[in-house]
Formats: sequence, structure tokens, C-alpha cells
Amino acid sequence: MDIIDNALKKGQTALSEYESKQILASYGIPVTAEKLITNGDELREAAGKIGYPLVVKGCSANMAHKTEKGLIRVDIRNETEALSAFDEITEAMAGEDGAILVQEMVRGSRELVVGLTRDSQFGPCVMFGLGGIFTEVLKDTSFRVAPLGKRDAMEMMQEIRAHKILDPVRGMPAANKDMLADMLVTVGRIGLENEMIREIDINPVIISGAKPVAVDALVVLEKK
Amino acid sequence: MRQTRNAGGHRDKKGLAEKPEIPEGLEVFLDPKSVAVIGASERPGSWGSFIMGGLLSSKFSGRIYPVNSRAEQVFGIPSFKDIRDIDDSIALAICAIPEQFIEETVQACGQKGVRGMTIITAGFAETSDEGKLRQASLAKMARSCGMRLMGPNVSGTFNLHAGFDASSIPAHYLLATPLAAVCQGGYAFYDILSSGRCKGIGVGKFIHTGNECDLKVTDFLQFFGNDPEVKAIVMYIEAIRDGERFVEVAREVAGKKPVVVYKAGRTTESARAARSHTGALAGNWDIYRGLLRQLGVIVSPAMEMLLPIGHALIERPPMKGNRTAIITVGGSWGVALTDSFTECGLSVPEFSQKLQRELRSSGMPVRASIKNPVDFGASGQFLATDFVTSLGRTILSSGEVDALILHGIGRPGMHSETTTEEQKIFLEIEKQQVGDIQALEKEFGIPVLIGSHYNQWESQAVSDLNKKGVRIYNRLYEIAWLLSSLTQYGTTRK
Repeated sequence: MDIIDNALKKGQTALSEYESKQILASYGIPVTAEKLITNGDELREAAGKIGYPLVVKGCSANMAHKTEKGLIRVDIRNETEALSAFDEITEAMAGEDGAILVQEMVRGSRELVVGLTRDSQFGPCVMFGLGGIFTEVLKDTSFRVAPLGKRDAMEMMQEIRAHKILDPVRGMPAANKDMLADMLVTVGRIGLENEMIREIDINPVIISGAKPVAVDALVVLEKK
Repeated sequence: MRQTRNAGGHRDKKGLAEKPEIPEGLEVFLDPKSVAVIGASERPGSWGSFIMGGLLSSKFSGRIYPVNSRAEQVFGIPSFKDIRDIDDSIALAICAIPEQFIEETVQACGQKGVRGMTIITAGFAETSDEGKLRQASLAKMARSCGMRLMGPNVSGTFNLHAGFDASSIPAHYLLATPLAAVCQGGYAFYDILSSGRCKGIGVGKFIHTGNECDLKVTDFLQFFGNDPEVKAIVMYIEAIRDGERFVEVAREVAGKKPVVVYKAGRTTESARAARSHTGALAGNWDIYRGLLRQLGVIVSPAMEMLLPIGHALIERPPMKGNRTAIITVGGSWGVALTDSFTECGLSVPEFSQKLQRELRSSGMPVRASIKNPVDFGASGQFLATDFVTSLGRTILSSGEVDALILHGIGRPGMHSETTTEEQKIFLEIEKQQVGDIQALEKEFGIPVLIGSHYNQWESQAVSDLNKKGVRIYNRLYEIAWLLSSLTQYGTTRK
């Protein structure tokens, strides 16, 4: 893939959020509507296309842990808020190579993680689990080795302790397990087809209504 | 080293299905025509004496040649100074000598034209990096002579169906069953095998692969997969060293017969330095657990459950779902069993009104619970020989459950000359009840398990039933795990 080749040529060890999601989207994984911008005019144009409320993030291949570094502003309702978010984040990035990412605000209180890692014996392995801040705290995850069948994907969703979160909960509809299963199968395929991808985190995958959407993503590359 | 095409890849890049290559030369470890024991000895506690003891304890029809640089004979069998002095072809050489002599011995065996060699000797990859290199060069040396190596750091192999026992346990402590064991660890396994004999459990064929410098568990998994004498395979695995091939072979074999694995060393620590959450969370056990399930392999929750699960899978019908019915003598057994079952992913559904009415009208008094669990103990009908069987038949006919358990049978103590007539009658009735309800398993094709807290030396009924071949399970979690395995086997793909 061009994105990966270019990133490797530039010496990147990971893809930016924007690049990561372009890879996912090219495989048909639903991702947030988003646009990279560098100035106020582009910001206005992007906001017009995507529509408020918005999320504004700093976006660079060298930056993981955006929350800790104060590089995320959510639930931006209008242009004034958007422009001030743009200024604050630009300042926080302190000349770091990168741009500003404007994206749709996906609402949903169920956050999941879908990921990929490589096992020295078994090759690419897909992970499913509770996302957001719960990923590290609860470690409620399940794994399968790629390639995954749809049945494998269904089973691994059922295997996490909190699997009932995918059922109808507190007025929320059941998550679309079919789409989630496709996402898991696809992430396995990405691992099989791209040997230079070392790890993937899609975290969170937010269940918006019933539909899963990749809201943040990180693709870690192999060292050349 | 990373693979573009992974382990789960049962297809190559062009999408063509691959058939794993079948390794050759494995049968000499299980059915050799002639065996040389290098380092054979009569010295008590030595491996040379263990292996000779094993071979002499079995009805081995092949030829046995002790090799020992000092002894004239070992256990009355003429001994040779060097394997090359033997005027006969040697299929298998079992080698229990100090590690500094291993290289020259492998070379001598190669020159002799030995087909397979079991290296009992330890002190290789498990101790140092140098040992790792040494064992790799042993494998290379053997390969160049067309010889296969087992080990190093192993405890032998046996095949009781062929009367061949080259292990450290004499054959009369072992039980020939249609199960085969393929283990990366061995000596500990002998405790499980030899203590299982009085319970009627064991394996007919046993392979210990140890450090796996040449032959690996995968090779024998495949070998036993193709062996019609083997009905199920139990495995003790610490680390798979040929991941890609293991996945292909395990998937294929698990589709043909039950494969039960205990994965030891269940570290949840991630093997690699990771930048992502996923990489950091991918513990060794997490990946094995997912993979084994994916392959249709049954994961044993404990090392000592490997044999009971293996036996259950070949002796009982698979469960088509996870619904269980419980009949107990002693209401608390029902409550506690329900706890164990639920924790193992089984359900104990309340019976339908219709079924409850049928149970009530068949003679269950109002004081006795019939919702599931059913408290047979409260029925007071201990002396009716066919009552509990008719309860069982009513429950199994309903289609509401996938397994039935009768738990809490047996009175304490063994019968003696002071046993009263009344006790004797009670014993006969209980044995008849248990035998009859267990027979429903065949009639309905649904597992019917019998449980008692008593072992066979603690209760006459349990002892007698055990001798008759009725398996009695002693612990609640054992029953729960067995049913959970039967469910997994019955509901996953084949």
C-alpha cells in the first residue's frame, strides 16, 4: 500500500490516525468522517461538509496518547469553538510535524477495541475487547489467529466477560454483531496481506446506534 | 521471523488448500522390531534400569540389545560394548548416557543404520544456549543418516497395544485404552497414568517429545490422527515450535477425532515489546486459548483433567447444547452442582410446567423439589428399584436437557462379615438403580453421569459399580468440566 510505503520511506514507525484510518477505510471498515486541515479556511470548509458537533485533534505519526497531551477537543458546537480549538491544539503540538484533524463526533456510550498483533509462532492475531479506558484497566479481551472465519469472530465477541454489552442495554439497541464480526475478519486480513504492519489498535470502536465506527486508530509499522 | 502467511493460513497465497506433509519414520518409536538400550544398567534408580525394566515388563516380541561399555550382561541379557558390534539391524536406540557422550553415540547409531533414536539425556536447550546449538547439530547429524530423533530430555515412549514399553513405568501399572498421549513433558505424566489405572483410565500409546530437536508434538498429533487404533488424543503442551504446521495439523486431526490439550505455562505476559494496547495485552495463554478453540481442540482446564476428559469424549455421546438436569441424593449437592455448572458455562434450566407435572405424578412427593435440580433424596423411595430410572427417563424424554447427572450415591464403608442383611439389600438396590439410570445414556444418546463423593475404596457401592465399568465421578468440578467439554465438542464445528 502506498500509505505504508511512503511512511516507511519517511522513516515513520507508525501511521498517523488519519493514515491509519485510510487503510481501514480502504478495506471497508467504517471510520469517522474526517479531514486533515492546516488553516482556518480549511477548517470552515471541513466543518461545513462534516457538520457540527465536531471533534478536533492533533494528528501526527509521532504522537500516540493524544488525550494525555491535551490534543483532543470534543463536542465542538460552532465555528468560534472550532477556531479556538484549532489555535490551542496547534500551540500544544509545539511545532511537531503534523496537522489538525477535524472529524465527526460519534456518539455512543459503548466503546470497544479491535486490534492486531503478531505472534512469533502463529502470525497475525486479532483481538477484541472492551475499549476506551477499560482496555487497560479490565483487560477483558479475546484473541483469534488470522485468517478468521465469521464464526470465529462471533465466538470471540461472546468470549469476553462483558459480552452482554453487545445486547440491548438501557434503552440502547443491540450492537450490530454482523458488522463487528466483519471488522474482526477484515483486521485479520489486513494483517495477512500487509507484512509491514506490526500492530493495530482501533480504540475506541464506538457503537453508534447499533453500528460500530472506528473512532481512533493506530497502525504500528515493522522496523525496516 | 514473521510470516506473511500465517498460522491460520490453511491456504497458500494462491488460495490453494495445502495438505500438511506426513512425516516418515515415526512408527519405530511405537512398534520397533529391535531395540538397543544404550546405557542399559541394573543400577537402581538409573534411567538405563528404568527403560530395561519397562521393556522387560511388557510382552515385547521384538529383540532387546543392552549396550554398556562395562557390563557383560544386563538383567540376564548379553550386553554389547558398542552398538556397532550388534549383529542385527536396530530399529530404535534408546539412549540414557551422560551428555558428554551424546554426539559420538548419535554418530555411532547413524553408522549402524538405526531408524530412530530416543535421547533420554538432559542438559541441552533447557539449560543453556550452547545446549540449544548442540541439540540442533544432533538433529542435523541424524538427518544426514536418515535417522529421526526424539528429545533430548525425554522419558521414553510406549505402545501397550503392541506390547512395547520403553518408558520408566512398568507396563502392569499402565492401562491400554484407545487414547494416545503426546506430551512435551513426561515424567509428571507417568504419575497421572499409573494412578489412573485403578480408575480404569489411561493411554494406550504415549509419546514424550521433550526439547524437540527433531520430532515435535505436531508430528505425533498427525501420526495418531491417522492411526485407527487411536480414538482420541490428549496433549500436554508448553510451547509450540512449528506454529504454522501445528495449526494445519491440529485443525485437520481435530476434525477427525477429539483432541484435548492442556497448555502449561499460562503466562499472560506479552512476548514482545509492544507499542499498541493490543500487543501489550497479547499474552501467550490468551493467544493459545483463542487459537485452540478456533481449531476445534478441547482445552483442558487442568492438567489432571486431560485423561478424564479424553475418556468422556470417546465414551459418551456429545452434548448438543449446555442444558443439564440434576438428580441428587442430598439437596445441597444439587445447589452446589448448580453453582459449579453455572461457573463452567452450563445451564440448569427450570423444567417446564408440563415436565414438572409428569415428575410429580410419577410419585415425587410435594416436599421434594422437582424444578431442577430434582431431590431424589427427599422422595423417600430409596427401595423402589425402578423409580429413579423412571424419573431419568421422563426427564430425558422431554427434550429439555442435553445431559443428566445423578449425584450423591453410595453409603460409607466397605462390606464385611458384620454387614447386615438390610445393608446388603440396600446395596443391591442402589447398584441396580445406578446401573439402570446409566443405561439410559445409550437409549437416549444423551450423557448420563453418575457422581459420588466416595472413592471406590470408601464405599462398597462405588467399588462394585466401578468394577462393573460404570464410571463414578467424585468431584463436582470434575463433573462440570467434563460436561463443559462434552458441550464444546458437541457444539463446535467438526
